[in-house]
Amino acid sequence: MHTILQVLSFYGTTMMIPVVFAGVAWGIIGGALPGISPSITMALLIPFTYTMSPTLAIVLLASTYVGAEYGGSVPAILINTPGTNSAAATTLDGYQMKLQGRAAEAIGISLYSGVIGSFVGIAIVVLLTQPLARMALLFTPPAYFSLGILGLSVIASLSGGSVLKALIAGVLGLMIATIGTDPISGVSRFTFGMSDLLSGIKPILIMVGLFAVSELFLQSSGAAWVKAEEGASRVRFPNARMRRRLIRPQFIGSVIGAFEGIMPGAGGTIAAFLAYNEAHRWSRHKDEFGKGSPEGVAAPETANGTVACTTLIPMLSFGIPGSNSSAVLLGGMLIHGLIPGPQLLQESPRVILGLYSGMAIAPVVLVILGVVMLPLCIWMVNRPQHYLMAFIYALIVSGVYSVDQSLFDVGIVLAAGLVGFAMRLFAMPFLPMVLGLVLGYMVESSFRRSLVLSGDDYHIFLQDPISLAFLGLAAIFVGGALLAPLLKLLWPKTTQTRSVSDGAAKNGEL
Amino acid sequence: MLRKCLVSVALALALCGPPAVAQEAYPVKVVKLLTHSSPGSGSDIFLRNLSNYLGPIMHVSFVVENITGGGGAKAVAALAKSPPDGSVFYATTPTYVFTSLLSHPEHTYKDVEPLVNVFTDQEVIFTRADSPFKTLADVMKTAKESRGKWGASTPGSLERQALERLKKAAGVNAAVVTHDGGGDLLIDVLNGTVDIGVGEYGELKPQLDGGKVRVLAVFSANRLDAAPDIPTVKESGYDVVVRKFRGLAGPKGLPDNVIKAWEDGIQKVLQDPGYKKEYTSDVLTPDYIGHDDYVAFVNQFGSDTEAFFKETGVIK
Amino acid sequence: MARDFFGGLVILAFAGLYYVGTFDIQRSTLADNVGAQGVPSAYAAVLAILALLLVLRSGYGWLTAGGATAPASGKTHKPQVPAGRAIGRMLGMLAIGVIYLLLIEWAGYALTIALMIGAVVLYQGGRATPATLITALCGAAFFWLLFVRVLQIPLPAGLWGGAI
Repeated sequence: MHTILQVLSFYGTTMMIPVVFAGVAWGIIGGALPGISPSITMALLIPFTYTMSPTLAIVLLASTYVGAEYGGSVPAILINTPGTNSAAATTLDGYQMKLQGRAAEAIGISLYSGVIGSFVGIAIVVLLTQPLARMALLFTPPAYFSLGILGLSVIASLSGGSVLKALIAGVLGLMIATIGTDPISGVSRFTFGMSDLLSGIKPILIMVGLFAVSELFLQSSGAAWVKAEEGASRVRFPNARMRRRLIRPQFIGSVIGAFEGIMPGAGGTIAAFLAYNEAHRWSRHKDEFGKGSPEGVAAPETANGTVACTTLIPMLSFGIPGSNSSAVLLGGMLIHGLIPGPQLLQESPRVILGLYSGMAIAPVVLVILGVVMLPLCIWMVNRPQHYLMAFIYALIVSGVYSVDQSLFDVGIVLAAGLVGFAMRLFAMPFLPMVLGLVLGYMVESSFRRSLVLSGDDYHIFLQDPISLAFLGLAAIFVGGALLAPLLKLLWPKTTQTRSVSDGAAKNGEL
Repeated sequence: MLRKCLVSVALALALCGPPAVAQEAYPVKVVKLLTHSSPGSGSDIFLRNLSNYLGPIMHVSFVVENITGGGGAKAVAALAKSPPDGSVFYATTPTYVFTSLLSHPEHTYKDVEPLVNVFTDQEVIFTRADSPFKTLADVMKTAKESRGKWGASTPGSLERQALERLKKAAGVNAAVVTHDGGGDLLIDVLNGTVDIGVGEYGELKPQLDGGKVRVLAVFSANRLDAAPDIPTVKESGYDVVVRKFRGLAGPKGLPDNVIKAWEDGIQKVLQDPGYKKEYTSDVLTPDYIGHDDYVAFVNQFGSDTEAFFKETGVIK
Repeated sequence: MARDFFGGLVILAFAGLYYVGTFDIQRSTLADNVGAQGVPSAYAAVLAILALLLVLRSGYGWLTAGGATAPASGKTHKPQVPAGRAIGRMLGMLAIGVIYLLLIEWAGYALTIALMIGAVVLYQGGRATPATLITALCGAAFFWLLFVRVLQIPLPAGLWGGAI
């Protein structure tokens, strides 16, 4: 009872609610701009927090994060450009829905699922931080390696048209991930003496290039841009029937999201892709995936919403930031003399309670702002095509510059656009490349770290129970994906399942 | 906005300070302090705290600017291209020397001029609180008998070098496992994946206060004031001393009056009771080195590191 | 099939180049036994095998005139692409991006982004009307305000220096 009163006093007497509004609105804008990652969006606010009370400062940053994770899905759906890394999975079905004139519905599902994910995540953080914190300690280098393999195994079922081409794309992605400083010895690899390449190529640059720039290149040869439906510039939230249908992908998304958030360093992108893949596997409408399935939007967006909250668990309990965004939040806390770690919960309970109260209303604010801001977004994407393309191109070259204030990065994005165009001509899917790129560093570095630990004994991957479980799952996934066509040959009538990216490959077709 | 905010803070502090005494005025009114770290991390916090207290002493307004990317190469390049009139400085850490050596950027640490050193971060060897290792000797015993597992943060870091040197000094062949940063390393130490880790005492403070980790030895030349019971690595019989410096550098050719003003200013600010309280709680050890000695110190550090990288084959 | 065949050859060549690139990686005593070049060499080998498979499969299909070479999923229809025209248009868009990159350092962000918006509008069939000019200028002003003023991103000011 006392706690509830305290929470209400936060809402009533402090600037909490206006601060949450400001944070969420700023987050949506930052997240929607390609290249401006959630962490940059938050970092830009840090100077403003100096003069605030610690609680408000933390709430501002946390609600910015919640807004940014949703904001990334808006351009993913409307212009096939993931605004954030983790929104890449949303482009798959979200953009297909937009092409079918169901943009408002897709945005509605994304918003609804993001809010559900956030609420689940907040509940987990508030109720389970202490017990789950111990879980973060169970993950060792072999477990991270096997998690990476599990993520890569998704390629087998996302491949669509040609498994061979998907594998090629995946290996190319892994190769891009080897650029930069070697994770064990510190020598530089494939940097050609350029210090811009020393810390590797950021995945967001490749994603923006592959998805958005190549789309612009393709559209320039005349295919008419599909407009969002006229008159439907208001968010269409799912009806009761759809809500029932979305329960399953949302459940999958929040479980995977909660899990990935707790593992420091695993990150939201893997969560979104795994959630997408599992939602497809367990769906009753498998054939819709890749062709504008509402479930294909709901699962990754729920996962993103949940990750945004549960990534706070290792940060609050050990002071270990699980993602770039929580690293900025950590920085914000340090500035106010709050040191996350084992004693924070005992020493500054009021700040933590304030953080929880702020996060609890952030999703509500997200709905309000999402609804208010959408008509403007729809209006923008319905401008005449040549204006729209000019503005998207300008937005991309300006946005990616902001990642590291580097024109070199702009060049990388253009090059990635060229590669993406070639891949479309070649009917090669993008997603395996994105997965290889995102997971490559983790897979290689934990593989080699494990072998250093074990003295080159490969049994280490089977001796670690978590690693063994992940590897087993990966084997089942790959085996299943490879066996499915075989089974189909044997019993042609029993299975009507088509692989996901019949539609996903459409993405890569001319 | 960052700029404006800080200017106003520094100005406010300058106005509250004691009236300017008759002293040679600093040649510029606004001084830009560059860092390669992002807002809220190590060097950024160092600069912001420092400028809050140093502003009133030196009667200038400080502006902190974050130039991230390229492992510090960009910030160093920006500094090297700035005029040496006392208006731009850069927060030095070993990182800028490492990047210079590892990636041969256009502008290296040799193209800028060390100004003064302010602090040293204390590097310590730590283990989890319930581990069987009570002393550094226990760790070495395990490393000799079986095969020790030691954790360092990033591959080319000062912490990695400290462990490699320790390995050599002790004549053991422990596995040195690198990580993506201090946070990853901490997890592997806490869950017992590695026997020991190396990290900054200040960063470990919350874990120490929470009773999660135990410090076995410090890499500094002398014992820490904050923890006088912990032996140094050197007195344990291994001749390895590590000094993670935190100071400032400027463009080449700084005028003498600017150098003098900074030398006086830094010595004064380190005595300031408010600042003292703040940096003691962050477990930063004041380690003032004047301009002439600092230039020699950084050059020595650079050539030692280069020798280490060449010896181990990291660079040609 | 021809497209897969030649594409496969290009990827095969890339795998070779990448493999040669691993020779330049420094051998360090700080490295593990796998080594800094170990994993990349493995990637190169895998990519070469995959590319070779693709070349062989499409080459075989090509020879047998597109016979029973359906890929695993059974999807046989090939997208109909006027590839030549698409590539030509693409090169134009790419050129606009490259010119932007070359120009921005000395013409400054505000002017270059205005030129870019104008160029894309014209390239995409918009007419050179006052409306287009106004759109380009307003768009540039909007982006400049957003990125330079609000987000404080230090985009190149060019020869104008601090004047704008």
